[in-house]
Amino acid sequence: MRQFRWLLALLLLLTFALPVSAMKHDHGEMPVFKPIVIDPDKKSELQMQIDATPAGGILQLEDRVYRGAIQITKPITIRGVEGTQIYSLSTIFSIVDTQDVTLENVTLKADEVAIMAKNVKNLQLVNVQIPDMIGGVQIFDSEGIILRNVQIDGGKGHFSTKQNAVAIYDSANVTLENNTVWRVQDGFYLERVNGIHARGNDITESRYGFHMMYSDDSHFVENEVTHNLTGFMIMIAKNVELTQNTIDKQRTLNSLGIYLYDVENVLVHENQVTENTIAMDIQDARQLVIEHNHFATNGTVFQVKKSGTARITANDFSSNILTTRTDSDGVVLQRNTYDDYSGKDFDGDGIGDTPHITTNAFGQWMVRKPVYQYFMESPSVVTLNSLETEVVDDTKQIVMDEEPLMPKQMPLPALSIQPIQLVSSSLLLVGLLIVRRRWK
Amino acid sequence: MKKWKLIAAFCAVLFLAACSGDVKPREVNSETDVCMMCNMSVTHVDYAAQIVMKNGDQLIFDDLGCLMEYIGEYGEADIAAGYIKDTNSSTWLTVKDATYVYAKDYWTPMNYGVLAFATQEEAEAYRAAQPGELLAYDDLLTFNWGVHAHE
Repeated sequence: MRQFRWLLALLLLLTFALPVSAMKHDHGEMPVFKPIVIDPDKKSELQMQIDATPAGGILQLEDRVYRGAIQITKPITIRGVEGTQIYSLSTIFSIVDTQDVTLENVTLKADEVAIMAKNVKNLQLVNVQIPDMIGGVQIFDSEGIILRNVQIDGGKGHFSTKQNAVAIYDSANVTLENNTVWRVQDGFYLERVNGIHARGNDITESRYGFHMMYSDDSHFVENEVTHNLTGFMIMIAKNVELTQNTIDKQRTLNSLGIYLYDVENVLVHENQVTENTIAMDIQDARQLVIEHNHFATNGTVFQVKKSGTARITANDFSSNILTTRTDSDGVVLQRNTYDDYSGKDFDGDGIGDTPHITTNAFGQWMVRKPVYQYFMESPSVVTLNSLETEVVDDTKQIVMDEEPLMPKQMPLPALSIQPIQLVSSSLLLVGLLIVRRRWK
Repeated sequence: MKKWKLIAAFCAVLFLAACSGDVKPREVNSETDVCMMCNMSVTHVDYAAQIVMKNGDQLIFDDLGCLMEYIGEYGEADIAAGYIKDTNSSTWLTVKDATYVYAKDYWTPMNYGVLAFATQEEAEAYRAAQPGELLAYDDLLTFNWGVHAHE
């Protein structure tokens, strides 16, 4: 009995002692958030430090946790170090009616919005981390905004239950560089924002990577959007450029790689658009040029409505189920390369001698009923497709490329033998044969 | 024989019930529904609208403006009823019976800024608190949807 008493005392001691040491070695994860009670009449320590910093000055924070809701109404640079964390039960930073505000190297955890800025000129957020985001970053009526190396994670759950990571309204001159956003509603929601430069951002497992509405003069370069409902959702916008982006694996129900709705003067070039349910859905586009992109392994590449002047040229199409679905307006296809083009080039100019029809009845059915893919190379379907391409009497109703480029000849892989693999495989095979004989 | 008559009558009742064409809006699924017109997913269900077609199809819209755009493009001939969420209670109202307020600065998913109310009194109460223009259903048919915010 006495032994058990000692054991019980030891267990109690461990119960009280362990959490302190466990919190210190949390393998880099956010410490457990402890609710605190804030006295509204009493300023937080960080707020007092900010108030004591002269306008335009630099406030250096320490490697520790700060708490409280912070108001910024003057030019200031707040610079943390690795391990600087700020917690709040409400919005952490409210930056209002000021200019030249920089926030660097901090990790934020708020029960509401992490950063809210309104009427700010020259706002920079650099190396800011928001794990377990609830409200993200919201910016209104501002100008000269830079977000660089900001990392936001919305945590588990469906996107419909979450907020946008970064939402910017009624603003101008926005630069978004090398930010990483994961598991939120929209990675970047931009409404009535003019002059957007987004480069090297990575948005994953969200509703939309970039969601832009009523915004003009935007450039999206070298961004990566993967596993979202839609990669780029661009609606009611003018002067948009999408260059060298990777738009990959938007492949759930209703997924789109790029969606253009009521847009004007849009250039989509040199992008990699792969493994999406629909690579590009286009509605009511004017002055749209799609060139030098690589479209591979998508369900449908183009679903187009009311955009008859859209010009699709010099793109490379491979392993897609269906290239185009359009309304009666069609699209302009010119000098693209199709892996399923079966025509010949007898004059050797690199352009096929017969047009390539980019839509077919069975492809349309496969889009509607994916299970039909199992019959794709069946004799009846092959015959049907051949008939459709050979017996064409009304070319006005068909979307076709009059000058398809001949597919490039892929070089055959060089035959090489790996000696180690050969010996090990042979030994394994012989061993299996011996075992099998002895087993009998 | 009587038993067979009863079974036949029961089947007839079931058949008639199935064909009664009861027009009712369905609940919106914020995880899977997308707008019929603009393709946006309907995550803000409090602004959702819907059309029930005469053939029973139910079309979901993320914003009242998208519903009106559908009517403008395809007409009302095949539509059995249209519904919009009440701003105050978030219940379905029939579009023709609701009263509307155009509040320019009010955010809606497509930024059309037109809100629906069950009664004119409720719409007036909203207008007493913040600016807005009172509209009836017929005004929506000629309303300048979509372009005003981009000018």
